[in-house]
Amino acid sequence: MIKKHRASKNDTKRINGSRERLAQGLELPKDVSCGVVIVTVTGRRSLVLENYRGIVSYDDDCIVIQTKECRVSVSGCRLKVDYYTNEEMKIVGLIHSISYEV
Amino acid sequence: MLLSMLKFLQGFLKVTLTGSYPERFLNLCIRRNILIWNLCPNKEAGGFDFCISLKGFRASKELLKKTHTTVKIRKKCGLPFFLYRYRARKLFALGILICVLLLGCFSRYIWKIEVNGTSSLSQDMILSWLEEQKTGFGTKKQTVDCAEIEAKLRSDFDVIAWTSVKLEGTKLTVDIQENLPEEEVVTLPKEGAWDLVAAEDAKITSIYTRYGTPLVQKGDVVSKGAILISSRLEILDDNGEVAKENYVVSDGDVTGSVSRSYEETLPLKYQKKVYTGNEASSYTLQMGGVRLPFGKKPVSFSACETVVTDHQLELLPDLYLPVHLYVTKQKEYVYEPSVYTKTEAEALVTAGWNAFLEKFEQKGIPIIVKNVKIDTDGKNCTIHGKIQAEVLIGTYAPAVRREQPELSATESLE
Repeated sequence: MIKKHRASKNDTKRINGSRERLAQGLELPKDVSCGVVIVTVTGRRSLVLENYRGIVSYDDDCIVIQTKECRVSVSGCRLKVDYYTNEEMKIVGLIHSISYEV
Repeated sequence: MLLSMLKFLQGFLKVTLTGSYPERFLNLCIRRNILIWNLCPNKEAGGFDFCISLKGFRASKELLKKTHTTVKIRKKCGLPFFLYRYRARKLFALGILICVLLLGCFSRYIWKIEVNGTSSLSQDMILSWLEEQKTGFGTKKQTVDCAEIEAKLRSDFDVIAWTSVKLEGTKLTVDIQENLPEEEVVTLPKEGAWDLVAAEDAKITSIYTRYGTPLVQKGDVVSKGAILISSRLEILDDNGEVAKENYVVSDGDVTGSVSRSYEETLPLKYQKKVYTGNEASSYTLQMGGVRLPFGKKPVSFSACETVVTDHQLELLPDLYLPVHLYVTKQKEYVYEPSVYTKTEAEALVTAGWNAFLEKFEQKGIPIIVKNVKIDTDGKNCTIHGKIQAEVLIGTYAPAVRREQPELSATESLE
């Protein structure tokens, strides 16, 4: 059972790798081909996230968002989700740092 | 703005979400395309506060069970809740509907006309002209052709140099630019024999002849009617005698120094208007042709100043309705016999003298000499002023033709 799980993980990595190479060859944007997260930061007060899977944890000082490749952690003060849809989410508040956790 | 309106129309709820895994509930919501906004953590309740659409809230009930979370509604917002709350007030809704219909109906007519830029023409003249053209108050906007009114205004009033008519909301704006007042110009006769003669007694200060024979020169004193530039052109022969005379229309600029006098007498005793301090205001509401006076009744003072102010109902910028509020303010006054002090009287007569001088300045006539004397006795204050101004003194008069000189004997033989 464990062996099977490992095999499937390797398969996914291989597929992702070949998909990335294909996208690079065809000059396709990576957010479309590989579903890479897009983070658009405007000043220190606003952040828009696209291509994410969901919220992992959320409080006033830190929001952790799960994406396809990694977790994006936004820390700051008085953080608030302005809107939250299937496509994108907007975080407002005073942003101190944005970090990526694999 | 549009999104907020859409949210209001569809209705939304402000809720507090609590439970073991509230984040899971949020993630499931977005999987099912349920819109969530204004999401923020609620530390007191240990969950989240957010807004959710009414439709989304209904769809999320299943998710609440699944994620073992509970939702507490804090506030219901939007049109569906508003209508539900006031479902019993049908007449109120009917009133709103009638109001909207009336508003739509009234906004199809002209209820205000603004005329700008008139100086010699009065606003009433333009308004009555518009009334004649069937473009007055209460005219249907559809029937008004602004370009046609502009063309007719220009053709019917010669003084109008430029005009613009525009219709905004229920207001018709007429902007007018009038011609500048024409200067008094001595018109040159086209043909015949015309002398340039002095229009009044003057001392010549300059003469410039274009056509004709000048008979005066700078420094000459001429009386009214004296020929300045003769229309007769003498053609001399070899002996210096007049061989032929031609008569033309003489032309030139002759300026002369003329005197103008000014006199004004102001009686020192006069009736002074003194306000008693008694004031009264009354109000009248006019809707179409119906006038409804309300508030205090107008007071009948023996002598009073009355100022009526018209306030027209303007719902939105340029959206006027035929509803007027007339505010009438009355201020009582009495006349008391009074006497001007010497300084006051002199200031008043000097103002008249300055206005007299200003007329010359406006015409661009240079004033050479200016003398003024103010006499104040016990009864009157009199100002005597005299100026010397440099004006064009030439005017046209038909020339008297002389008999042509007879030809000499030798010439006749030839």
